[in-house]
Amino acid sequence: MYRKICRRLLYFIPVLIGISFISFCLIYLAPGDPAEVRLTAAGVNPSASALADMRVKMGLDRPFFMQYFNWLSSVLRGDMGRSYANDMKVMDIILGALPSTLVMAASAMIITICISIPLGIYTALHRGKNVDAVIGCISFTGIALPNFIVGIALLYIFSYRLKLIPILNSGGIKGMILPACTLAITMSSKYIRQIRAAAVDELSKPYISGLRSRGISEFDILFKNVLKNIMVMLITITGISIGSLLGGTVVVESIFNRPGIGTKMLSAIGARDYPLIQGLVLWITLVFMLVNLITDISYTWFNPKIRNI
Amino acid sequence: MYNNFNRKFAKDFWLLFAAVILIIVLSFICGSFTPYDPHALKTGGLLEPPGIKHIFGTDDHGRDVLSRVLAGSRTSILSSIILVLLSCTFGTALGVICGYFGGLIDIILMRINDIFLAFPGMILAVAIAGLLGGGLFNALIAIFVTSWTQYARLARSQTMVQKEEAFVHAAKLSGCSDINIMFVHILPNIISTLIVTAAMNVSVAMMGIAGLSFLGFGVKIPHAEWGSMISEGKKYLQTAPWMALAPAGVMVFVMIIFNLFGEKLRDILAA
Amino acid sequence: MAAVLLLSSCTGSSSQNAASQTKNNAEDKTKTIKVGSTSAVVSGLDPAVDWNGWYTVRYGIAETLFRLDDSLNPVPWLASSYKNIDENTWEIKIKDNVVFSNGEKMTAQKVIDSLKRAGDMNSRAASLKDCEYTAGSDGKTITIKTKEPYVALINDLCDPYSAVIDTAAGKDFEKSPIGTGPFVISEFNENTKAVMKKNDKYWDGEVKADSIEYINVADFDTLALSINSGELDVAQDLSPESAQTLKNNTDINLNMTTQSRTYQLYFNLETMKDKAVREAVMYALDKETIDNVQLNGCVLPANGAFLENSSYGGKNLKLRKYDLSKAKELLKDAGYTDTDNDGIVEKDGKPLKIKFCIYKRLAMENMAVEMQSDLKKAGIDADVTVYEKSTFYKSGDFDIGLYSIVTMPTGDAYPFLRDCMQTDGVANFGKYYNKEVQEDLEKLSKEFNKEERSAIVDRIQQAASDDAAFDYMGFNKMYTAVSKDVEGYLTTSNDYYQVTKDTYKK
Repeated sequence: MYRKICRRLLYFIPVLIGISFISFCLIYLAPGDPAEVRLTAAGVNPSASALADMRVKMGLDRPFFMQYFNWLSSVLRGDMGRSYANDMKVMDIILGALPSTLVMAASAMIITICISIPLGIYTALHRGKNVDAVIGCISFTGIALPNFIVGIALLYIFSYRLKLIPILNSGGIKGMILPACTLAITMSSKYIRQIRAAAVDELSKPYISGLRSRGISEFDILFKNVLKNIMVMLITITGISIGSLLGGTVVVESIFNRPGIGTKMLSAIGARDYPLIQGLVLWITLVFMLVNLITDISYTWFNPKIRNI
Repeated sequence: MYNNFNRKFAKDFWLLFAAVILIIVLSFICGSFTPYDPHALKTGGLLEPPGIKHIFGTDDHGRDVLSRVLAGSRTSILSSIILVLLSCTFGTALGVICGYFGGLIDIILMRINDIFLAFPGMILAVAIAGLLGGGLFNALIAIFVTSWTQYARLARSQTMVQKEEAFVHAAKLSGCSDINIMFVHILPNIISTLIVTAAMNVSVAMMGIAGLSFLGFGVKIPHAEWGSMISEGKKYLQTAPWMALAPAGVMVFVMIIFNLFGEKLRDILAA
Repeated sequence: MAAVLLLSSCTGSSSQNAASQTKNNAEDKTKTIKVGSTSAVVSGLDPAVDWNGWYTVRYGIAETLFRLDDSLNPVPWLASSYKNIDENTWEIKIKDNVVFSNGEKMTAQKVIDSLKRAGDMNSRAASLKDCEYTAGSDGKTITIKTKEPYVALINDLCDPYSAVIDTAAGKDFEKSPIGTGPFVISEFNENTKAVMKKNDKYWDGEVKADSIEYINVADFDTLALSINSGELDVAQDLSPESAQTLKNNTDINLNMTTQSRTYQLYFNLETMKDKAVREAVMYALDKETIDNVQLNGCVLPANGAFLENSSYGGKNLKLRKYDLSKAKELLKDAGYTDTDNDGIVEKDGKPLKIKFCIYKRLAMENMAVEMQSDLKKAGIDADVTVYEKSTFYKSGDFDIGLYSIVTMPTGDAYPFLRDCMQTDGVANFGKYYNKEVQEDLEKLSKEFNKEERSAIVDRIQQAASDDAAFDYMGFNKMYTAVSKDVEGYLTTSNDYYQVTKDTYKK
């Protein structure tokens, strides 16, 4: 298994290089002159000579690949440059914004799992009954709800109409509830359906009736066998949904006015703050890949059959 | 009894199929035959609540919301279908090539695929759309960049299975060209899985486009698109909720139909 | 959906507790005034850096030698009087009783140190840089000798970058500058929150409020919701849409202040060489209706670039008024007719399509929708492109473009006209050139007589308008919502006087 993990890690390297290249191209190909953007961001209207000086200073006069390698080597040293907008280190801005986003994504994930496992298994056990139909209907609608619609609806109902949750909460646990729920609602709809399908599949397997005939309690069958076998599937879809979760934070943070990676991304784009956009794309992708790697490893862990492959 | 089930199954499917076709045709036609000109200002009062003259009310410029929802349906539905078709075709072609030839081509193309797959779709899309500037075309490019990857993976794995089948070997022996084998012999056998995936992804694409529009990277003024209409309507949620609710409701409804259709299609093709 | 219900029932009780807690907190510090805005707090408070001084003065931390009155004329503030001795020499007397919040007395030398620092650090403060400063022996006279004759020096001393701070005290000017204002900074979080406590040593009497909090709120809807629910006492700079939602709240006063920020319409003279088309655009735009009806009165129709009640009000200007038939006639005479009946006029088979650029600022997007529709009535197809920022102007890739700009930040007209209309002006995006205007601008920079100055300004504006090079959609009105419990919160057209010693919460 360690060899497999090592192989995964090695495999990481070309993908990382590719990602860095694309992140770099993103900015290189973007319209507008970075030197000019940088100068105007500082509030000065640049003269031609100031522009030329700045181009040299930023290394923009060098050939494409030189620029890429210069950029890459400083990124590897942990230096992602400074934001054009406020001259802060990109790294510091990202590290400052990351925790809030990660905590939000993680709590959304936890809420999702807490809702969808019980409901998924419950509907699987009662399939064909009214409860199954109702929950099936709700989750089906939930899948079709874009997170910005859910977010606005929650904000309107809980903050404005019911006044349960204050609107101005840039931090704290209370501020986390609505955005995390927004993300969780769309995700758990998907999860409930998949868990139900997997559980139905598992429950119809012959070994279950075997266990039942041997007098093993329903509780044990559910938790010791069914749930354990569903776990593999659950981990896979968790890994896949991290990407959409991170993307969802952009929308959700902008609706709920939360400081985090998403709001930074939007303001960076608004200000054409190239180094920050670049840094953010790179970082989010790294986090995403890391989570996928962990999922992969735990996947091997939970399903011994795969270990030897 | 099995037969009975099958027939009911088929009936549901054709019903949904008809609904999907109806939606597509309607969005195409209604885009041109709206009750009011969707761009005309002051067709009624500003922010008029829903009534007989304006079924969904009017917006902050006095434009008819129903007309804009209909005009927007063309943009939203057609562009997501085009997006899905493009990424499905492109991804499938690459995937079949990789799966069939294997070797260096496979390694290179699949690594590129891995790289794009590594980006969280929405994040890259926001960055690309933001840097290219607004506009529907740029938004479509932004989503396309990440959406083709899943088709490529799927097509590749399916092709690798088909490649070892007897009929492929037979075709090779009888002197068929590679292109012929790939697209005449292999493709028809794997296409159903891809079509199901594509059908299920129409609503995902719709959500993606609307999401970008919502964040302000969508269509140009004065054109209507559901995501941007919802974003504009968000400002008036307290005073004129219909501005956001009408496009949101229609959008969710259309996505549910497309999802149902995708699921039924999958069930039928899997049966 | 089930999730929401589930969760809300779990969290309901705790949020209610929290809600009552917030209430208690509010009762504890009744005298804290909470001010929110989408740009309430920036990265620093050093008045000499960029535009940060606006915030230092807004928060009541620092004050300037002169301040602008309601008609944007400078009146003494920390100064007591001034004399213009000759073209280059100004003598300013400062008030005798002013102390900094650390107890230090404000002396002429301290003022000079502060002004010199601003001149060195801020590019907009160029006029303060090359001056010779002398402190009088009485400790309250300052003599400033400029290199060139400079008319607007006293106006410049109203600009927040020249706010007087104690340069000898402490080093952290970004986070805790020492000024002479009614409040002292006590907590500063970059781009998030600033908390000010009452200055017990304030030179101008007792300060009524205990503390003031400025909070950044990310968007207008949230801003409106928070003042509606009582979480904020003041919401500044609301969008017109969000202000509408507050109209029915009887606990809130909704103020509308006309700013000297105008929506200027640039014509790109290099791409729109046909003057008739430019004129047609000007005639086709029904500014009054757009401003008053469509934009709900959040924009004040303008006669020229300067506010009517200021000394450059331009009452004598003769600008083009809305006249659709005239616009059509002009186009027809210039050879544009609608040959294919699509509502858009053509010349030589080519439809009249112009690239209309705007950027995301205030009411611009709403305004553009209306303008586009107005132009279409005249047969002009305006293709609207929305940019994130105003930087697109530099590339010259536009036919007409809207620009939101403050025309008299310190009450003088010259800097704005120079920037927009001089051949090498930093904001002359449309490449405007007129020989007489250049000469008049030169004269304006040296003219000291007030009447003569406003006559020159009128002449320049009239010429630019006759050339169909600029148009003005109107002045922005700033919406500020103030809770009825708060008294003495200022809303001024220049936007940097807000809290004073008399600001107070019941």
